[in-house]
Amino acid sequence: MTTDMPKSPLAPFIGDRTPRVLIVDDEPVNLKVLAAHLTRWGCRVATAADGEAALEAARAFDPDLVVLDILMPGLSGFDVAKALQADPATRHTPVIFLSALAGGEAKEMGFEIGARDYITKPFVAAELAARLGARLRDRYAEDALRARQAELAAGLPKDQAPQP
Amino acid sequence: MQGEIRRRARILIVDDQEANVRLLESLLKQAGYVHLEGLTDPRRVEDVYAEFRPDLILLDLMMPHRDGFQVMHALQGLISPTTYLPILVLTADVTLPTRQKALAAGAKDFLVKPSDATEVLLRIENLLETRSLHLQLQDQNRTLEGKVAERTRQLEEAHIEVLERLALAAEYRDDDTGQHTRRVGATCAEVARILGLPDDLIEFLRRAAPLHDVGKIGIPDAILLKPGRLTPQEFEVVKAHTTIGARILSGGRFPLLQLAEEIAHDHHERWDGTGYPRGLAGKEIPIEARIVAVADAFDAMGNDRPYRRALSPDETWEVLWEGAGAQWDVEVVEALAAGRDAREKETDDHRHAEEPAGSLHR
Repeated sequence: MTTDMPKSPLAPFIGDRTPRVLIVDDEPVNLKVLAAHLTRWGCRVATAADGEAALEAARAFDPDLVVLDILMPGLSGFDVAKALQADPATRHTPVIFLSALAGGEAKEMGFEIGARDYITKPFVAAELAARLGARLRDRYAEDALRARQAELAAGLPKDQAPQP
Repeated sequence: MQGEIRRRARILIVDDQEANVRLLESLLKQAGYVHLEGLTDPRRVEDVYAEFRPDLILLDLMMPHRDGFQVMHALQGLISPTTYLPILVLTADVTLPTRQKALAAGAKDFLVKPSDATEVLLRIENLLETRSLHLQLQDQNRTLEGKVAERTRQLEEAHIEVLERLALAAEYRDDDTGQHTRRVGATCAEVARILGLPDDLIEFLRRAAPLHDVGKIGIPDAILLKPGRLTPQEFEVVKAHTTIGARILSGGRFPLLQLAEEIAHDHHERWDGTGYPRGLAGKEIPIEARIVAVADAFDAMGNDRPYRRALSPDETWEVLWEGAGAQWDVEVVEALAAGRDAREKETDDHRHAEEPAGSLHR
């Protein structure tokens, strides 16, 4: 008997890696739907229902990528993204905005803050998967470069190694 | 920062519709982009890519002769996998499989035509920033790799220098220049090369051979520097320089030191099995030690020693040929002779070559 597991739509991008994804949305239904998709695609998922919880989860869960809603009570998605970038522990963590705000201004703001992508709601699952996959692929490539950098720096005396 | 990226970025637009290319060009120019190249014949993409060296490619999917997927496939061969070259696919095809396929084929992003100008610019800029980050990381890594290589070279040099000083310390009482040990190293390397040993072993041998007599540190002056013959008891003391040397060099973590230990221990073994300390015979004796035995004797005979005067080259070779097969490995003595012959021929050729044509011999 073979179990026919449908191949993850992320596989063409990242092979069989298990990405860690934090999703942030104040709407419980959205969180539930998103989490179900991502889990089915082979992700390990953490969720947060507001900005404060998102920052806490980002530190504790150490995600490979954050999918971030913008309009939330308390800290907005923009605030969260800025805070993530200001924190050395999370400043390399890529952020994708997933928002109902479809206007050019919001997108401009999102990219300006440093988001790697901006997807508008309502989203199509397959497109979300492809965009997630592409951004995760970038993330892992950057990780590999940073790991090599750390490895090289470890072989050098302190005064010649780059400052992190 | 933003303006800087726009001024420097090189963008290639591939679209079979001239009007689309024009439209994108003017949009990008207005936004401050300067280096733009349009291409309407996708079959020429390899040439244009090589010539223009873009930082980003805007690619239409539906084109005659060659569609966007074929273009991406063709480019894959030209772009190294470690290069982050963003391709932004522009397509009128809104169906999902096409978009997914485009991203999986290597596109970094896609946009559905007609697209809002702001979004086109945002996504282009976003991709250029990611590319710039990758390039920066790669650049830093290249610099670091250079530094690490330099550092490794320095450590190796320091390592070798310390070993040279150790050899010098051992020789100091009867050869305070270290010339003998250095020459033995060079001779060993040459013989090893003629015998066809691997390159890395040749270099190890050049560095390890000078340490063959390091055990002399443990031999008293009265015996080491004694002019004339040694008594049998004194000779027993001298023999111990092999085991003392090996002990000094024992337990080394590096192959070079391990080789030096072996050489120090076995360089007085004889081909016929009557040597010391173990009485090994023939090929039981490691090749490195057999080479050092010959090179050491050759160099020692050609120079003055407390107990005898230097021998002439002819006398030296007579002793070597006589001892080949008894004291020394014949193949090693032959290799040493071959090296000498080659050198003499080279000097001869050199001399002839330097003679001006038609010159008179006086």
